[in-house]
Amino acid sequence: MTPAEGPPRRPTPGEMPEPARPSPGQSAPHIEGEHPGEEDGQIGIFGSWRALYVTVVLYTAALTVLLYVFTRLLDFSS
Amino acid sequence: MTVSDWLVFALYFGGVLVFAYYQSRKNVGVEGFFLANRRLHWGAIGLSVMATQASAITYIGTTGQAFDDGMEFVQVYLAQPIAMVLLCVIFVPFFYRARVFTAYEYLERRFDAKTRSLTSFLFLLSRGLAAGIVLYAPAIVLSVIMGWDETITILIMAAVTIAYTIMGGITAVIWTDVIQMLMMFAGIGIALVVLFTTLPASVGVTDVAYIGGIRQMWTSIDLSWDPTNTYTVWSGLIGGLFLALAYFGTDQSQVQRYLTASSLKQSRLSLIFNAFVKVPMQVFILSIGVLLYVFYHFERPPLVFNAAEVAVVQESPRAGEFQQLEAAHATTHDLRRQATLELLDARESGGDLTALRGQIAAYDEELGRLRDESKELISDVRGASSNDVNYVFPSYLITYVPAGILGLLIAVIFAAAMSSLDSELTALSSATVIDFYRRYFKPDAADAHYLWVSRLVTLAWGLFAMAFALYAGQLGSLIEAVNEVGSLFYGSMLGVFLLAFLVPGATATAAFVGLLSGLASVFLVWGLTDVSWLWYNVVGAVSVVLIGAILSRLGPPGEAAPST
Repeated sequence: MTPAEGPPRRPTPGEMPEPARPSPGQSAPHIEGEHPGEEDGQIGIFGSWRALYVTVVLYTAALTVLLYVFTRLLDFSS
Repeated sequence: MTVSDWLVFALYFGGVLVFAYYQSRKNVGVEGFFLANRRLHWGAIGLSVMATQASAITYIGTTGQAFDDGMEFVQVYLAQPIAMVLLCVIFVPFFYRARVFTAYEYLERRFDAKTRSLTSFLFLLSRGLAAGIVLYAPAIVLSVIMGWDETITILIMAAVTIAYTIMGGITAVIWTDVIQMLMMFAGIGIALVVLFTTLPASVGVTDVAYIGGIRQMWTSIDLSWDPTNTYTVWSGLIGGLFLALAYFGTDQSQVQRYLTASSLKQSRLSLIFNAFVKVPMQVFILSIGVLLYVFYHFERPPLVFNAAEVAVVQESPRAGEFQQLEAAHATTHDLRRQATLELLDARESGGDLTALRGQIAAYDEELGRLRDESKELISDVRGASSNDVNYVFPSYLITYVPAGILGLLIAVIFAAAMSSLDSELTALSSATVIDFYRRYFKPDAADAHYLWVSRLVTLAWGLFAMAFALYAGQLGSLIEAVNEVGSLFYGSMLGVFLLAFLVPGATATAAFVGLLSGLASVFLVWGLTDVSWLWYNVVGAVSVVLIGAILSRLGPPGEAAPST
């Protein structure tokens, strides 16, 4: 018998219990990620996570454009 | 180094140990040791995430690279902010809500024990060896530049890092990382200011921009599509995105950091902080290298910056050839210096610049050729490849930086090395204890037992890293192989996590076969093509997801995994 097939573990005080593992042939649980509605609301000066994420994407685009402008402006090779 | 430099140095080491001891009192149990009882603030975690990524070689190697090739390396980091958003949306919620200790633990809950064990093993293999290099690389540079004993440098760095990591676990690691990262920020700023002050008084900011621009040193965006060219905007945006997703999403040394957050929101904010700060920081670090390039238009640089390699060739039968190269280098440098001064005069008086630019470019090319030739000569004599990129910045520090500041900047190099090593040690220890020891050997022990074992395993990994660093000098090109091996695993590890998060019907068997197929695909691309390493992560991740998804659909119906 491999350790994986052994009896369920007893969580000790202060320790995080591990959830049951799928046994061979059993379907694997898909642990949910995003919970809609959770952690919504103001994120600093941003109205929502979505606004913050969009800002990061726009920031990346702006950085790339800025670096390209510097690349062109500061090319004195010719 | 002067007394004031040593005082700064002693203050750094003493401060880190005292601070780590103070922080260590807050730890409770094994969850405290590995996850700081999940109560840390995003600011501390964000700085620790950055400190973990920025090793000493980032600090001294990247500046050396910019000295030779300009700003093009920044393209590798361009997609990192986007990767942070994807991590916040896709990865972090899964890890955080699963309440896992390691990233790989999640894979057993989603798939099975063998997929967890294989990914954790791949992490231990690549990171375990890399921990030794994190110590060795700056130690060898500092020993050559400062004249320190290599063994003592490694022992001091390792002993202090192991001590505070064992004492305070992740809490001490993260808070010392905060200090070390703030020191790195300060070091970058001070280095830029010092570089400007050591330029001739008549050379202004626009002159620096102009001189650098003659050899396109400020070129940070390359739009070409050549897949064998490592640094293009496309390899950066696509390959760099996969690299960042793999590193921050599957490497325990990073995942462990954001698992210490007091909430999901704090976890995400720590990564968003990184999204805003990383690219500008890298631009500043690379600017140091370009400023060094401009600086050495006015001061004569050594032909080769690694004094140890020069000493070997000077004692060989081919010393005469090297002296001839040095003489030619000195003459060409003096001619370039003269042409540069004339160019600055012409800029001021409104004279013709085209001819002078052409002269400077030609001298530059000749200097580059002489450097390449000297490196080939050294390689022939030593029987191993020659690369002095890590010695350019430290060589400048020791020669031109005033007392006191030198001590601080050398301490910054130590801080960068130690902040990466401490994170590696806690990550290696957590993966060993949680994914193997607790999983297979002792699943029912008390918390105090796991805490004791965790400290012991941290010590063991620290000693292993130290031993590897002490003997790394005898490994030769194996060091490069170790670095390369790590980049071969990342993409496939990312693929199996993407399969877990994004394909609800993915089965355990399909995931495991997909992982093996992904690894095989990357090894084939690595062995049979000249495709740049940045694309390996794309190949690995896409192969695992595609093969895993297809096999899941073809597999027996009973094994299909419903989304719960």
